[in-house]
Amino acid sequence: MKPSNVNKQQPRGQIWRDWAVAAQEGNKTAYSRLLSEIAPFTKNFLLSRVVNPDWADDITQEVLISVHKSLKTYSGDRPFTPWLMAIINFRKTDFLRKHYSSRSDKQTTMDDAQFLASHVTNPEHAGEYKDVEAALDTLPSKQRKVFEMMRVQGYTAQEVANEMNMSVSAVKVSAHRTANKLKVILES
Amino acid sequence: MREKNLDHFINELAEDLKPVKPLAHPLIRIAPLIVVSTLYVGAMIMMLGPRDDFMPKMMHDIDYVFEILLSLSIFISGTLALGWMSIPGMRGQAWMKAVPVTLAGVFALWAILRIMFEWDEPLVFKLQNCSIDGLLMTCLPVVALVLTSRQGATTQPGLTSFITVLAFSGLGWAGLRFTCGAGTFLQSFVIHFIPFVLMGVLFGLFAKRIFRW
Repeated sequence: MKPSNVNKQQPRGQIWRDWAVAAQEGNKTAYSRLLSEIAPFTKNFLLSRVVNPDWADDITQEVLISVHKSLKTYSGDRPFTPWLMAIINFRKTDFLRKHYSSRSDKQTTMDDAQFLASHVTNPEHAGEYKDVEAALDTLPSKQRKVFEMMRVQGYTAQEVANEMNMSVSAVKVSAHRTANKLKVILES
Repeated sequence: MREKNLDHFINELAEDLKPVKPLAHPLIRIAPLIVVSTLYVGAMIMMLGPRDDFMPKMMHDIDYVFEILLSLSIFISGTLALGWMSIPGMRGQAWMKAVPVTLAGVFALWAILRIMFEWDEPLVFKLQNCSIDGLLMTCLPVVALVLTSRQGATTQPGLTSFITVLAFSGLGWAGLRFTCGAGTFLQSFVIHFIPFVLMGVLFGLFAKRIFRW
């Protein structure tokens, strides 16, 4: 089916399937429409699953490239959405794995003499650590743990929610409120 | 990503679009591979010569027959699973990857039991070229299997490499037991299968990169 003939009543999956099949035949208009629709769909899916909205943009871009590379693996006799979701989940996992592994490379220990010399004993930085630590000490333990897991250790809201037996939205609200509270404490 | 950049990016991808021929159904891509690999291994067995007691074993040794069938089942189910795994979403047939893994679990259990029963048997540390024969039998099918898998775009590169190693080991073990006259399971497993294990580990280290796209 040509993209211009799309029936508005058709479910999106059906329309995407038709566009994907047309794209495999070289129809650039159908392909452009397909990518234009799956980009926001992908981003919306990712926004609730990654901590940083910028990551959702990066992963969305990766997903579009992957769809481009693997278009030949899509079969018109199968639904389009599960095929796309497999790619989205793959790219999301791949992105997070790379991110967390590079983050642990950058971690340092407070036992590192060089780090201590350049940061803790350096008057320019020394106060920052004490202030942040002191501000964190003023928080209730649960609130502190949520904040540290999400903003310091980089866990996703979903992971923190699972660990703390809270809802994802409650975790996000808690982290946001804590950040504001810390800002106020540190500025005062 | 700004909306403008995204639109520009999509336009670039659309401009780059070339007509593509959809991949054939996994069964159509994989079945010939299984047939050719089996014929290749059969030809190699004929060339190298089956073990002296091959016919009596096939006729009377139920353990031997079970073991051969089990290892060939791992090869066939693993190869089929790899065909489906090279498609994102596996065409909705995610259960297929559980089959070779389960069969490999059964094989591992079987191996443990056999080794326990044969623990007192003496090991003969001579090569007999069994390992080399086994490797000769499997190298070409494995290359063909990897190339076929790479035609697709797996979203599970880790599991794909693991199942490739399972399929490779299943075929190698069957080939080894067809040609190698080693008396016991323990002898075959410990002395002749170790090169396979080492190659499997090496392959596993690199395979994840091979299947990345």
